[in-house]
Amino acid sequence: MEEIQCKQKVGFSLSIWGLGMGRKYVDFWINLTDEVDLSEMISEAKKLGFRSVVVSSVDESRLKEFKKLSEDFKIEVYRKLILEPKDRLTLLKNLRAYRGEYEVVSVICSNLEVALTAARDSRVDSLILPPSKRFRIDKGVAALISNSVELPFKWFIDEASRREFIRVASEIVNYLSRKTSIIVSSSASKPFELRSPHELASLLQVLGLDRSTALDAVSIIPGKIIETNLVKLSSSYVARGVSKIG
Amino acid sequence: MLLEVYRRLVKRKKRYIVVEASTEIPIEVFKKIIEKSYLELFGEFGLNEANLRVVKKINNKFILECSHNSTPRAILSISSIKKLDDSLIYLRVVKVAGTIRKVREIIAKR
Repeated sequence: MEEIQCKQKVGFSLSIWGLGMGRKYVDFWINLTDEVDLSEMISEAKKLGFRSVVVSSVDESRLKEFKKLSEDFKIEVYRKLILEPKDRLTLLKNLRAYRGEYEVVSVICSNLEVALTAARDSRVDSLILPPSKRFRIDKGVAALISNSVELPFKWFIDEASRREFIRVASEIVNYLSRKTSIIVSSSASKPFELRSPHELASLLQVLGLDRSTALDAVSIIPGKIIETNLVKLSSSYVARGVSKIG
Repeated sequence: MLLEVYRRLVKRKKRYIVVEASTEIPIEVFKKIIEKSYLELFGEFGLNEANLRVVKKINNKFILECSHNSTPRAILSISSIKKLDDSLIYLRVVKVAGTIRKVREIIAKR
């Protein structure tokens, strides 16, 4: 009964990301830089209770190495592309070029033009609103946003950007929590910047969401995005709602 | 009936948070950094409401007691800590439990 209710609410079966078996936690953004020790990073993620991680890296070989290591730790790894375009045209050009290569595409919206374009484009999986953004999220902007909004926890840990980040996060929760889904990711580039799912979810709890919704932000919502994109990237996919059988 | 109301008024629900530190730190230092972080984020009123108390230290694990309503706030303030003086440190929330007995079981298992 509980599962049926969840299915209706979330819109897909929870058997995989199921509540019955315990939540399957996803860290939606780990940034692999050149200096970081990959095995340390993945063992820390495993220790914290994540079963899937989404990683971004400039270096393709490091991504492959990370994926290989993940098999030993039994963690699923997906690739993420972070775009930070200056205008609408650059964003559209990048999306056209790279959407088919990555499981997840996120856009850092540094100005309103990019934010409004990314918010409506179905090729974008999540919007990241940086603490230094120079626009306000009002009713007009909120009405246009249909994609998920991501909150990178690293900006909260960093004392320099913390105050601004809290302001942006509370704006997002106040205006968007009923309309779109919110994701919290660690955005860690070092092992000590990783945080457990409950620590990530506590940010949303403090901002006023209930515990279950806050935990969805690190389990069901990112899981759903990955699941949808894997279907889209598979060879049997033809168009939305159409796929080859056999 | 009155007795029941009185009990509800007096009894404050608590939660015990098991926190693991990356390095060996004394209990006083732990308490100080937690309180400082909580104070920065939620202010004096928040800190008073939380009733933070470090119950025990076992190796590099600490048992932190806080009021039931302030648990997410306490977790958030723990996870915001990344520095102790000038050296890097991280504190991990291992588990949250409702009784001290359960906490002891968790630590013994680990």
